[in-house]
Amino acid sequence: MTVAVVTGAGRGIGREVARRLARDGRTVVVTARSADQLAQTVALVEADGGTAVAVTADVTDADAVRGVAEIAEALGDVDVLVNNAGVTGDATPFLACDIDAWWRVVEIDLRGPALVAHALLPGMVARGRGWVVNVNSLGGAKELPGTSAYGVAKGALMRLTRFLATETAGTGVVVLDVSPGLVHTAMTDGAAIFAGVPEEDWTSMDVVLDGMALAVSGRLDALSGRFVHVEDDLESLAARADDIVAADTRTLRLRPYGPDDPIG
Amino acid sequence: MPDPTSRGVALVTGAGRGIGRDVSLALAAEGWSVGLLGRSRGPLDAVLGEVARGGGRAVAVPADVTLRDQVRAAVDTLSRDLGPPDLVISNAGLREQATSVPWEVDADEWWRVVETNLRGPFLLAHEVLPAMVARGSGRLLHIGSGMGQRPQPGGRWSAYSVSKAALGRLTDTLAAGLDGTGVTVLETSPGLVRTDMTETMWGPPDEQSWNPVEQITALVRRFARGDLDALHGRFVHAARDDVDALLAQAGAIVAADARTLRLRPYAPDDPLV
Repeated sequence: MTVAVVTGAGRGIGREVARRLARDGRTVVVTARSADQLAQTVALVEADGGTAVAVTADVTDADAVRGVAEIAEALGDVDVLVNNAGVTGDATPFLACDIDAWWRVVEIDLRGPALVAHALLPGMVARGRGWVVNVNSLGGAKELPGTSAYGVAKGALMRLTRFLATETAGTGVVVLDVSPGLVHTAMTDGAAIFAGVPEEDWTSMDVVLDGMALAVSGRLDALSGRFVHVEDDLESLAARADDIVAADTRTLRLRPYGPDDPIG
Repeated sequence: MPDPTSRGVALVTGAGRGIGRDVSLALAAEGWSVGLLGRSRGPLDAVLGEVARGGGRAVAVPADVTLRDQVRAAVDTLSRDLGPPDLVISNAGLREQATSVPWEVDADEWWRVVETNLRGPFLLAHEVLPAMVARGSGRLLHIGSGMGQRPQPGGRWSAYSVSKAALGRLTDTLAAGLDGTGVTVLETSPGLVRTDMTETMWGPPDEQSWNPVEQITALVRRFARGDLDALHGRFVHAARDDVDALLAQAGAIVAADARTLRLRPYAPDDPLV
């Protein structure tokens, strides 16, 4: 049986993605900081008839992440990593921001995915099969209210995705940024930066789960390194992957001021 | 002989060598009093000596840019000895020691690069901006890199590239918060200038097309004078851009939100853009 690792799986999108991957036939290793929340996720997976193993870990702790990887590899061939753990932080004006809180957002949203990918990619590359899904956000590529550590970290994560895809090209491993859009969870409902977003701009969990399942199905492999949104028409996006790759689109780039711009 | 009282106070990180050293000397020669920040005292003292021999004014403020207390102490020392900085050049940068696929780079080393290239400028901005905003003037320059913006041959130097993308995003988000305060932030790339850091990045030095360091020092001098304020929050390439041409269309650049890191659409009708 193949194994999927899902971070931030104690609640919200991570929990539902873990349940979906288990229903689709994978053993899921679920990680989060809270053992109690993970236990609930495991119970939900088992109630669906699936198999889940909880490993309590902070994704910014390199030793703990190595431990997650060791446990997962012992269970079987890890072929899916969903780097879902993330936080938004506050929309605080820069002069008022707390340095430690700001940097903590960068650690969770950037260092976390980098560490888990670092721990699991060697096995995937050696076996010639794997999907790394970095749960990302358009907030990484536009102005956000306040001085956003989230916007900095998610933008950097897009660059990491692009890099990892270059390095894994031809190995059978695929790396994608997948934006779930805005989904009602405890995190987003409590986040100041999402307050006031109209209801029609939120995405349903079913759409998110279908998008995530598609991302690890092999049907989006030609888009490796790119940013996709679960509300994209993903199959038609994959059909135009050659053009997208050739023009290096759907990735973070300097926006040129016009066709004559020497940069970008 | 420069008049050391004619400009203001500048702070340059990574001032002990490479581009930081050249930028510091250029600013001192223009009459700026310069705070030289770097990790090692020895190289800073050497630059200090060069500034003094040229008739300029500087102080060495040793600090590790990733450590909050040291950054604060360095800015405090500079402010006491020369005055609070009017101009800050976040230049200190680090790359991973050797090129390798990202998952073979030591994970702690990978993060140390991000700390130097992102946390450093973040901490420094946080330290100097309140006084600048209170005065209603000040300029902050981030030394970025095209490596933060586009794929590289072989795809290597992942930590450096990811950190420079993050720096671009920091420039962007800082700029948004500084609109209307009189304080300007800009990001630039010096191009490929031959330094200890870059010398072996892309293979044998004699096979590289090096950009002269005078291009970045010239851009820094213009930024210091306020010439580039209309490009607040944007990226300007010191070697590849015609700065006057950019300035001529600064209004259009800002209106189009150009020269910032954005998702590149696959077509004009890409629904995400």
